[in-house]
Formats: sequence, C-alpha cells, structure tokens
Amino acid sequence: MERMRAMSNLIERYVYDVTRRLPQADREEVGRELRSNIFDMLPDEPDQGEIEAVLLSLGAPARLAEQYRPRPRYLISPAVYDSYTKLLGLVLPIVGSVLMVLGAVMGSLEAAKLPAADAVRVISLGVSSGVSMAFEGALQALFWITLGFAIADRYRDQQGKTETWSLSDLPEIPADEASGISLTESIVELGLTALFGTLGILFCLGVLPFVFALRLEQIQVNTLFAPGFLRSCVPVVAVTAGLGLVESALKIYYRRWTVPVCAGVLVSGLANVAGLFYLAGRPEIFSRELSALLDSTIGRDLAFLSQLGSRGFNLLHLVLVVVVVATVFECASAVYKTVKSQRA
Amino acid sequence: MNENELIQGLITELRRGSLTLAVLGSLRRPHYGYALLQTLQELGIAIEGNTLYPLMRRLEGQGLLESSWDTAESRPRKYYRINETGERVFDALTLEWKRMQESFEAFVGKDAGNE
Repeated sequence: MERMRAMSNLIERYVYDVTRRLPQADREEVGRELRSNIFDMLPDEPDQGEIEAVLLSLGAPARLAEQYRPRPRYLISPAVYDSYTKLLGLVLPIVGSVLMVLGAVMGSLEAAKLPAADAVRVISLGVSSGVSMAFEGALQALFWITLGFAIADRYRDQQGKTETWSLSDLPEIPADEASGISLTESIVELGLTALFGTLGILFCLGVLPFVFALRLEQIQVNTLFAPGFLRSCVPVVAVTAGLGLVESALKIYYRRWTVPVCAGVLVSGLANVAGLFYLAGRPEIFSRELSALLDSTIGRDLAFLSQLGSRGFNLLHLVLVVVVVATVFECASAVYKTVKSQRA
Repeated sequence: MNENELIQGLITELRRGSLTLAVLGSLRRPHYGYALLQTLQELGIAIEGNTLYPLMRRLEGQGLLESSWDTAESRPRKYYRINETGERVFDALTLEWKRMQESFEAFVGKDAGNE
C-alpha cells in the first residue's frame, strides 16, 4: 500500500511539475490528460522502475510544459531583442560614467568635511561613493529599460500587431571599416574623461590634496599653483570634461563618422584650446613662493623659466602651439572622415 | 556539433511537418493518446509521447480535432477524432505532400542522372 502510494506520488509530482508552468486555465485539463496517458503507458501493476522509465521517456517537465504552452513565453521577444541590447549598450555606460563622477565628487566633498580628512580617506570615500552610485544607477537603468520593453512587447501582443516594415526602413551600409568608430575605444574614452575630469575638479577645489615640494638651497616651496589660478580652472575643467563626455556619447550612439559626431569633436577640441588659452592668459599661474624661488636661485642662465606666465614667446607659448596643432590635426581628421563617410 | 548530431537534428526537422499529416490521417478513427502513439509506431513512424500528446492538444486548439472524455471504463480516457475542418485541412496537406514528393523525386532523379 505504501509502495503504491509512493509510486502514485511520483506520477502526481511529475504532473504537477508540468502543469504548474502552464496558464491557469489549461492546468486541470492538461493534468487530467497527462495523468491518463501516463497510466496508459504503464502495465496494470507497475513497479518503481517502470514508472520511472515512463516519466523519464516523457522528458523534463519544463520541456514538456513548453510543448503544451499555447505561445512561446519570454520577457523580451526576439523581434525587439536587438534594439533592447543596443539601447542597454548605449545607456548603461553613460549612466554609469555620469553617476560615477557625481558620486565621486559628492563622496570626496563629504570626506573633506570630516575632522580627520586626509588624501587617502578622501580618495577612498570618493571612489567607493562613485562606484556604488554608478552600480546603483546602472541597475536602475537596466530595470526600467527592461520593464519598458517588456510592457511594450505585451501591449504589441495584445493589440495583435504584426511586424511591418518598408524598404525605406533599411539602414545604409557603412562604406568601410574606416567610417566606423570602435565602441570599446569610445567607452574607454568616456570613462577616462569622466575619471580625469573628476580628479581635475577635485584637485582644483583643493579637495584632493596634492603634495608638492621643491627644495633649492635650503628653501622649500610647498605650493605649485596660485590659488586664484586653481579657482579659475574649475569651470574650464568642468566645461571641457563635459563636452568631452558628450563627444564620447555621440561616438557611442552613432558608431560611425556622422555630422553630429564631427560637430562634437570640433566643439570639444575648440573648447579645449579656448580653455587652455584662457588659463595661459591668467596673470598668475604658479604660486608666488615658487616664482620667487626661481627668480632668486636659478639666475640669468635659466631666466626663461621665470618668464612662465608672462608676455613674450616662452615655454608656455610652445606648449600652446603644440596643443593647437594637435587639435587642428584632430579636427581636420574628423572632418575628413565624416566627409568620406557621407560620400560613400 | 558532430555530423551525426547534425543529421539527427535535420531528420527531426524533416519529420516535424509530416507528423501532423500522420496524426490527422490516423484520427479519422477515434484514438486516445497512448493508442495513437502505438498505432503510429506500428506504422513505422518514429514519434515519442512528449511530442504526440501536446501535438494532439495543439491541433484541437487549432480547430482540426474534436475530443471527448470516455468515463465508462475504469480509467477515464480522452478520445480525439478529426472534424470537418480537419478533413479539409488534411486533404489540402495531402495534395501539397504529393506535389512535394513529385518535385523531390524529379530533383533526386536529376541528380542521379548527373552522377
């Protein structure tokens, strides 16, 4: 009797495991039919081995349930899965990078207010805050995008809409590999811009302590830049980093040289040059104690060093020329690639 | 995937459409699930229960079969049989099957002639 009950229990468990995966309306009927078929496949007094053999021959309950299901079941249908993954690939890096910057700035500012704040503590709190905000933001973005696509898919199913397309929907074929922009490179560029932009702003605000020490003939100088100069750097770094992020985002979105991407490169490049010229034109770049030390100790042979930040052609002007030439080259390359891509 | 697995997979694909024809044709006489499984296997049609039972339910859902429970015997059984719509569909599928068979024989014959 016990044995019969155990064997019957095995069959019931199998039927349950199949029907629990089906719509409520189908469970009873399918269960009844499946139970009947299983008993028909067994001899009058089956033993444990025979029952197991029949259940194994029917296969995994999940697989059998899939056969019984009136329609395939998935969260995001194959028809829109490509669009879903493409959107995730675009949104998640941007959201993660932006929130990492915000989190790092906020965490560092909070850490700087603490009584025993030092460089290690500021950096570690900034990094941990940035990472946790980036992770949380990325998860939120993943959730909302997935939910949006799942709802749109169900709505489309309920409306009974079928996929329609026309020949005008067909995309243009990229001319060649040269007109394509590497996604990996663009994402790395985005991340590095966010990282160094954040570090730059924190340094200019004095939140990120920077240890500088120069010792010449018993005189030690501990500050590199003048405080006023650092304050004027903050908006410049913020704007140029922001435009850099936009440039990277455009590259990630379009993945090829288009007019908006080219515009992003030109605007970002020009902003970098303009920012550099603005900062170079500041009356005082280096700290007074450093300038005084250089004036008094280096002497006439190396007098050009003391002219840093003043009028006349000097080392600073050389740096500006190099940056301008590099920027012009980068912008010209972007324009060339865009024109070539548009003509193809 | 080795060659044997590939062949088995393609054979399964080849059989899939013909099974519907076999089931509709067999259900001109009422059968319950396991009885139809035995009938088809005796005719040399390789089919398993986990394929046949859901197929019968699906064809009923498509309006090609009718079903009824027989509770007269010791164990209740669900009997299926083809209905009028199913008959018309079966005739259309049979016609298409014959056309495909003729095309395929011509194809195989053409290839054999070229060897």
